[in-house]
Amino acid sequence: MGIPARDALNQLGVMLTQHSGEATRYFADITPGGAMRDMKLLSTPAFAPAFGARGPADVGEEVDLMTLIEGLSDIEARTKVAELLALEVGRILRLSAGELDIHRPLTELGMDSLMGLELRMDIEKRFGVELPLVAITSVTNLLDLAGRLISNLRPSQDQGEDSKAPHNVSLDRGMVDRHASETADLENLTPVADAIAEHLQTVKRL
Amino acid sequence: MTGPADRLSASDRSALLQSMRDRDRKVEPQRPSKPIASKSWDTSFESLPAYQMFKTQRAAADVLGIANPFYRRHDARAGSQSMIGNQPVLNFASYDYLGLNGHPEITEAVSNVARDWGTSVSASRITAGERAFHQELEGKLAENYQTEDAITFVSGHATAVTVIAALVGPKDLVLHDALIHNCVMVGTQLSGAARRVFPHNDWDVLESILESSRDSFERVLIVTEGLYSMDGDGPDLARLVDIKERWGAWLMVDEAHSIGVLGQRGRGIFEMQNVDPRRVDLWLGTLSKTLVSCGGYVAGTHTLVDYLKFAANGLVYSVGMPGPATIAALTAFNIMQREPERVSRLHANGQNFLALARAAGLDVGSSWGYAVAPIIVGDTLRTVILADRLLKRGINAFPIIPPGVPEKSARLRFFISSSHTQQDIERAIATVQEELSALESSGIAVGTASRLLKR
Repeated sequence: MGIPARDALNQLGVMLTQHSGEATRYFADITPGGAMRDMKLLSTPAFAPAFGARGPADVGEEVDLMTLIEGLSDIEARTKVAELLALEVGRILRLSAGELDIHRPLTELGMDSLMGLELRMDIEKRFGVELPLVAITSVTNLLDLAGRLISNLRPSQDQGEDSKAPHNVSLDRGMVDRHASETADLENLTPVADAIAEHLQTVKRL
Repeated sequence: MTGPADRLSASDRSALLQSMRDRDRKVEPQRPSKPIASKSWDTSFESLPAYQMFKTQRAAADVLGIANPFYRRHDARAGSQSMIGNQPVLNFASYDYLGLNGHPEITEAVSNVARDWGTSVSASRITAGERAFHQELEGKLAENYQTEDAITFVSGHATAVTVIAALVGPKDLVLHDALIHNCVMVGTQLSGAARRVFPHNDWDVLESILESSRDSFERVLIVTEGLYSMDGDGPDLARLVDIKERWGAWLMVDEAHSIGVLGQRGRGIFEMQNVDPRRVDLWLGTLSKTLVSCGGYVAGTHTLVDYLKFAANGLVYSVGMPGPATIAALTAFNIMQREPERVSRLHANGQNFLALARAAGLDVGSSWGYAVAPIIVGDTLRTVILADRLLKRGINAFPIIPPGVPEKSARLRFFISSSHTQQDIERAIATVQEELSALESSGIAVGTASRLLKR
């Protein structure tokens, strides 16, 4: 239920004089995550007792990594980003970030590939960086993952993408590594990617 | 007005509020009655990201000349032998571990129950009622685990999903082995409980997670399997029971692959490892493997089963087991108890498979040699082509590739049955050895895939 601003103002005067300081209580069901996204006011310290425990980490607010790590040394930058990642992992594992050691292997923290998928989506939403899933499952710890995230921001970084292949059949280093027992040369696989891309158009059934 | 001039009476105040509400209502009709779409929405299935991924995999298999191994049609009752595309095959892809599928005694009992009771119990048991055969099968399962009671569900996968979702919630924790079956993950996600994974059979990590996190949660459920379907090994049950008792957690053991398989009489992992089965809170299992039917079960205390009968949505809102499926499982159970030599034969076959494979230099991983044994190849493409070539030579073993198994550990999975003969196993191992070394010497692998392109 909404009231036009002008009416509300009029009624406010009336209410103040009529109810002589009696509090007006109003109860409503709200979803904290959604409400915090739509009403920035709720993210301010004034509402911290009600919403602060969940913190902005839960809201999926975007963070500009480049600005965040500007002027920091490599290890400072990685630690800073790893601490942010710890917030995300903590949310997935229901642990406070303080309980998470950024040096400990992710598997020892109790993560698996499904949770890795969740973390990947969080990273995409929060930092605007799209990482291959295998980048998350293959890192040793959060510090390592932070390093990958930072290096991913640099445009010069070789992503192993084959831009020539049509229809998005890209040769992903991680994907190839997952299936190959010996290190495979991606260049040798380009004809395969091209053949798949071409054949893909004729595939009608799985 | 009854009060001071600057205050509204109760009735005036409600009139004011009412006028505000009325105002709201008056505004309503001015809105367009049907919102006009400002953009178009995607209603195609083809654009689903996973569909695109499956399609790319299909295309990759096509260009590399690999036949589709999925949803393959068998033209015979698949047991230790089967028929694929008019070709008789030696089959290592059936869960019929004790060779009971199609046993005349089971088929006859199923025909009789179908004649007397029909093929459906029509609705969920909570309203459409129980039948004696439900109680008889559940009594049998409870007796096996020495528990007070048991309850059956129409799907094995749904059993775990619905039972976990009924037992835990957002304040609780589910801790499971890294190799646990999908049904446990789905159930946990549905429940809203936190989910943590410990590396396969790593009891030290399990303990350290409990040590650091036990107090943050109300209830904790630990889940393991009696026999892992990809690796053919299982847990140290005594150790696990000790951990769960010290940390105040529930323990659920999924016996899908271990009922009828482990222990001298096939009673399960508790029999094999000599652990009191009453120390496990929930025995979970399927009726579709050794028991050659369809469905799942949970065995435990009266309180647990009573609770599930009202709280497990997959039971309350789902139809009860039909007579034929129930009687098939019950009769199979009776034969299994009566003929323990089937279990002995299965054990002998499994151990034989393991010994021969190792002697041939094949990697069987951590398999215990009961019913499930992988032959780990590593390279995905080599594995898939190996499966393809074996099939051409009349041997059916399913290739399992990442993400179904950890990366670089693609494998052929062999399900061994009591019906396999010594010759069957010898032939299988010899053929695998031959074909695998041929693939190795020709260097076929992911890295050299372009050599397989049809030009």
